[in-house]
Amino acid sequence: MTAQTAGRVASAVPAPTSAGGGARRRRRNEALVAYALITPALLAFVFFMAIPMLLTLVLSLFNWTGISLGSLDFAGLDNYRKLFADQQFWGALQNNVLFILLGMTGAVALGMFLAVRLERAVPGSSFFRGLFFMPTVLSTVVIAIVFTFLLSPVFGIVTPILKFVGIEFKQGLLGDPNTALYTIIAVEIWRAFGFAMFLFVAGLKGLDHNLIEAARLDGANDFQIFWRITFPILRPVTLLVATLVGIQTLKLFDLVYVMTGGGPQHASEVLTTFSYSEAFNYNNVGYGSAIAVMLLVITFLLTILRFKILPDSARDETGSER
Amino acid sequence: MRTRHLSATAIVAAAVLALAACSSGGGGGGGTAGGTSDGGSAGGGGGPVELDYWSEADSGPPLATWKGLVADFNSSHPDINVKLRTVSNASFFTVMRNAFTANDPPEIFQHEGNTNLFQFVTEGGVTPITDWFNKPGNGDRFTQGSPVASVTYDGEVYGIPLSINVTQELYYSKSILAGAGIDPTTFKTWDDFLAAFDQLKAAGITPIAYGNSEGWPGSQWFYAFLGRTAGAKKVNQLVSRNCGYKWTDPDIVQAAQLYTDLSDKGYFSDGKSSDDSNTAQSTFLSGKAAFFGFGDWFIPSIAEAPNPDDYAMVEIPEVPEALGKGSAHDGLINAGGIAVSTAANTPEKLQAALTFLDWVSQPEQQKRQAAIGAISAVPAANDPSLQGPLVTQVIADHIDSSTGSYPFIEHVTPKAVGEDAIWQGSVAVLTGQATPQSWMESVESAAAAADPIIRIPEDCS
Repeated sequence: MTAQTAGRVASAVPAPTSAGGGARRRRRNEALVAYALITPALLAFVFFMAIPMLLTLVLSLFNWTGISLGSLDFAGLDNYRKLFADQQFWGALQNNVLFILLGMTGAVALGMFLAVRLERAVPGSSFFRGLFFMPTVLSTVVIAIVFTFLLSPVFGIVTPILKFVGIEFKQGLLGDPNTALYTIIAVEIWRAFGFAMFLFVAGLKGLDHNLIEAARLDGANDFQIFWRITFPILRPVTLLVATLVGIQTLKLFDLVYVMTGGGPQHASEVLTTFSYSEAFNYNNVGYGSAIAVMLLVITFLLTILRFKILPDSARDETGSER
Repeated sequence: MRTRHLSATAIVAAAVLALAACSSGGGGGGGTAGGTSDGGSAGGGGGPVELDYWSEADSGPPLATWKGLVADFNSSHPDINVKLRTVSNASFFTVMRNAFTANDPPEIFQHEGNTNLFQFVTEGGVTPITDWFNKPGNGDRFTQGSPVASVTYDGEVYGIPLSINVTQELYYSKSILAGAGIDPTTFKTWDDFLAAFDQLKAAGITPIAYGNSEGWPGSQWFYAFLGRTAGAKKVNQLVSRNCGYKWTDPDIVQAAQLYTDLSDKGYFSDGKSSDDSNTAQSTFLSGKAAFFGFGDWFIPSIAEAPNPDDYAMVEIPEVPEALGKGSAHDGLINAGGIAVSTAANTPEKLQAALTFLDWVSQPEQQKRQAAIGAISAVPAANDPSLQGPLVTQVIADHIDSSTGSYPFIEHVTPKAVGEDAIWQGSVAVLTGQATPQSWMESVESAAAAADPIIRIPEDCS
């Protein structure tokens, strides 16, 4: 090797002093800034979510009225044993499952249907999209109060309309144990479908209309176009919407509390109202905490199940991840 | 090294900023004891003794009345400064519980008697005032019986009763009944009312406005019938689980049956199990029903109705063939008032609190409560010229001519008995999910599984 060659070789290798060290320092500083910026959110999570969750878990191991710390009485797993033997718990859990199955499915299906219909350039589609989104921005308590009034057999309009078409609910839809829960689920679908529609509309932005036109030219009908082209494109959004709406229905409280309080006779009770009732009406804070912990566990398990059954990644025909 | 130092500094700085932002609310959040007051200083150093008083009277005439009372007390007692904090009824006891949990309750607080007060007594949060109460002229100024019992626990007195609520009155629309040719003032027994309900129903008029989605309105009907089938004495013994009395005794089940009959015969309005009590009130005041069963606290609502003169009130009379020793003159009475917490933990504070209790319960001060339509637990304060004919009638029927009294049962029983078994059962019989017998069986089952909250001396005569 000549001196010239050695010099060219040497110059080809980056100098390890200033340039490389500067890049590392810059990356480290950027990381520090990132940590500093997420620290407030992290602290908020710790103080307002993690610590309360931990305290709830701890309280679930005690019998406590919630009035004086001196009355804390360690109960171990007794609250959980009592919970598993409590018919009211299983009834509330069943209602939560119905809420997820019917409420989530209804909101997602209706949202998707309207998003697909309004995705076309029909007159007034923007107006209708805005109109359908309105329930999402309304206070849930306001929605509950309005619907309770609408459903009142004395003052509401729903009962007379149903009577006019030959369907009679003398006690009102909310006063009949057989219909109260499903009525609230219907209201929840009405409240949540706009949000689902909003996300589906965004998801449909990725739809290639040329593909649809080509499919039509090949003779595909609306359903085939939807099932073969539109729905696969919406799959990731569907999973997202289903997850968000599902979690929302699982932790639903105010709609049930205002409309029926969980009645009549616990017919519309869900785990959140059950937990609240035990902790704050019956002064069983430990038992109420155990219910809340079970709700958290169930939410966690359902989330894991969802990712197992319906993973986000899709595989194309060659088996490669899309 | 320098980089690590920088990183640690950045993180700490961010953490401090975050903590500063998070801690700006301090301890004065809505549900904590700090609230808007200074927390009641010891009053040392020569200044007035500071006391916090928390009340549910957060709106309308009750708020104005209490503000006036507190202001007048402070001006007439320069050595004491009472600071009033009002919290809405819906959240008042959650706020109170939070305050007790934080070991920072107000020195004086409003209570609704019985278990509502005793929940804090059993946790050691309330100061007994028995010695003060037993002095001549103090305790005996209050209505005896249920009102005094509502503040007495295990032989000690833990507060004073100031207001009395009575139920179940039967309000009616004069114009609707006149149009149907019915005059309830001529009725002698409950059968007369049942005949009138039939007549109204045949004429297409809803007999009774009713909304029991919450469960407690149904319990009030049931309790009213209990007084007429079993009597106050037995009810009081029953809730103490004395004398072997059970909720499945025939005279008790009879009361449940009388209530259920109103539903089964179609006398209640359509929203009986879906509407709440507010909707039921609206049903009555908008002329959609002839009768409305409710407590005396409905009277101010009548005064605010567009046509208050159209409404009158009649008592539920004796029931025929009562299976027990019931009486229409047994009063279903609940009393609320104020109490002193253990936050009054110095002799000066305790004396100041007792001075406030003493002053506010004088007839002269209580007349201000009477003037807004309340029934005072200080009989000398009740005045027909201030309270109007309906309140005067309630006092005459339920208090002055009372042969015995008993409280709202959910206030003297474990929650599993009162608020769960009784309330929920009163809804279940409306929807056909229970019968009067099965309802009382569920109440008995709950009562047998729980310890009584109130234990009065056994008297099975």
